[in-house]
Amino acid sequence: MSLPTSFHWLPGERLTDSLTRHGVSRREFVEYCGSLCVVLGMGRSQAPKMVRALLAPQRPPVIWLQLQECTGCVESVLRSGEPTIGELVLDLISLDYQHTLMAGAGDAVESAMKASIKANAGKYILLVTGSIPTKDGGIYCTVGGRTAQDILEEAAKDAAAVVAIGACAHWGSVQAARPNPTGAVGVSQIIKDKPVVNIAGCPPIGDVVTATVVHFLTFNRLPDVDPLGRPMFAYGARIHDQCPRRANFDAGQYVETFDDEAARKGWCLYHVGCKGPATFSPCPIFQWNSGTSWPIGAGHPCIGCTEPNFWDTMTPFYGRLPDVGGFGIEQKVDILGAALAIGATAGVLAHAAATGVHQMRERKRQLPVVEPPPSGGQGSKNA
Amino acid sequence: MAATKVVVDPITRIEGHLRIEVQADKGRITDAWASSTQFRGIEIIMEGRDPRDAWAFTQRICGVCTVVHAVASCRAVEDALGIKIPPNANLIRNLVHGMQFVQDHVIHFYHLHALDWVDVVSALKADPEGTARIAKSLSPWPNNSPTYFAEVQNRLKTFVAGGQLGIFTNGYWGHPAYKLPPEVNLLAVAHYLEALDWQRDVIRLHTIFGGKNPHPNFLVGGMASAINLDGTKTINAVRLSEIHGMI
Repeated sequence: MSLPTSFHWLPGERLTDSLTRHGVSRREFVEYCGSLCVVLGMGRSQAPKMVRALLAPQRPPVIWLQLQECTGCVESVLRSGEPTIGELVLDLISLDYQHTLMAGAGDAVESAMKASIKANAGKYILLVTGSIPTKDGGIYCTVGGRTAQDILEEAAKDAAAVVAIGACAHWGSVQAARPNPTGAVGVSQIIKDKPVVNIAGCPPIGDVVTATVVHFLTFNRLPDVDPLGRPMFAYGARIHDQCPRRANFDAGQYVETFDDEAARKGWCLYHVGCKGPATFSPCPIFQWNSGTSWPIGAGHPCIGCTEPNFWDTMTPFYGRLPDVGGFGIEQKVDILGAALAIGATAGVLAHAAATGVHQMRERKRQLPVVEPPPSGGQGSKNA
Repeated sequence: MAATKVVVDPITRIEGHLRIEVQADKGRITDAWASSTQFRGIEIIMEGRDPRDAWAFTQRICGVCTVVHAVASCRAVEDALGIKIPPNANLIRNLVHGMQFVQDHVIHFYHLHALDWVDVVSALKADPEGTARIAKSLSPWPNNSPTYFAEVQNRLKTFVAGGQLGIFTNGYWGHPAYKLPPEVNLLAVAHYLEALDWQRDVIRLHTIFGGKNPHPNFLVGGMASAINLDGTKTINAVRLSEIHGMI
């Protein structure tokens, strides 16, 4: 973002000069780009290309629309980035329109957006948080007297790229949960003439947003996505397959109530409602808030917030997914366990390959409705 | 001056969508209307759902004050069912709530409210020596030096000279309603930038107890956070010392 948070260019100065002025060596910067390439799943060999792209003198303009939403995604992006060089990456864009942070209000900001769209037609990146209410002529979200749909269509028309941030912009999220009183839909249900990347999650991890923007700046295209439009580098793996508690699942070691001995041992949360087996998310790898922890790391089951319709398909949140064991893959746990005993690498590879096939199938399955737990459920006397 | 109507929509630097309309006559406000121009219907969506899930739905009312609606929801369900939560859960909730209170005040003060009375451009004219004198009279912070404030001012100068003002585009810079002297404006700008880093760091308390922020996880009946000082996958001695450091 164009916040003067840390490093800035003198007029005509290149980024490398600015870095030198601020005591960051080129080598450190190249290393940082290398690690970012790894995060993006591209390998360090792409680092020189990223370095070149990020050294461009002008910061590309970004317009950020906030539609029907809670501002949680904005807050999440504010928490992203590494302490020093990561902020530099945020400084690589010029944030020309953003409600939560902009100094001006009313006509002053609306005219700033119009001016940026006009001056940067075909060049600006459009970020969107929030859903678009379609019922009753769109009256359930208006800005400056215009409906969310009207504003989105205008801003998307000349955008170089459209990135939908968070579950609301992805598919509608909480306001689209049954019975969806306002007819809320995601960006890709309105904008159909150009690709929309979905940074899934409620909210998503801020670093995934940053990495997606850097990918675009580097390669002039958006990252590869899965069938739901989510970047593969972040959403390509199932939580269940990356979970440090997976060994407990395989061994049948489950938390039954949040205050039992199993909870204190950090065993698997599947029986108390964990949706990790049906959720594709970067949480276990990226982790939250500077790599501090993640929901399962804090002892709470995954609620599946990166999956469309999770407010209806993943609830009750503390109910067990009924047939995770019926996928077929988990029945092979014993065999895979033996493979692991012989050679950890072989076992992991076998498991990963087998699971990958099931992931593809799983995407096509309608998620089952979960059964509520027996009466006197686990939520009553915990911690 | 004849009767005029002024409309400000959107009001920025808030959570949600707000429209203010003001009727003025001879320079005096005679009437005013505030409209929240967003509706989601979360109350309607909550009907018929499992009460243990309610906190997660109500939490999404606001991603800035991301704790309070969830805690209120948990307490409402616990009151209705006569559940008394364990003392440790109460302590954890209080820590999470307390950190929200402190962090959100700082965000509100600097990043949301301050630009209503801090003229960012005026800070360019400040004498860093004067800013340091004022800062020293207020706190013993080690960075209260002319060098530090000159560096912040320099950063701001290069930002403005770059011509891409980003979020500061079309601000009301130089308006006579801004009353603070340049030296105080520079102090506030420095704190604005410092606070961006600070808020990102302290909020990690929520991540340790609730798994993430925004929207950390809660639980009807207590908190999921399992404490085992000797555990490797739980809130252990290392985690507690991190929390001690944040507080």
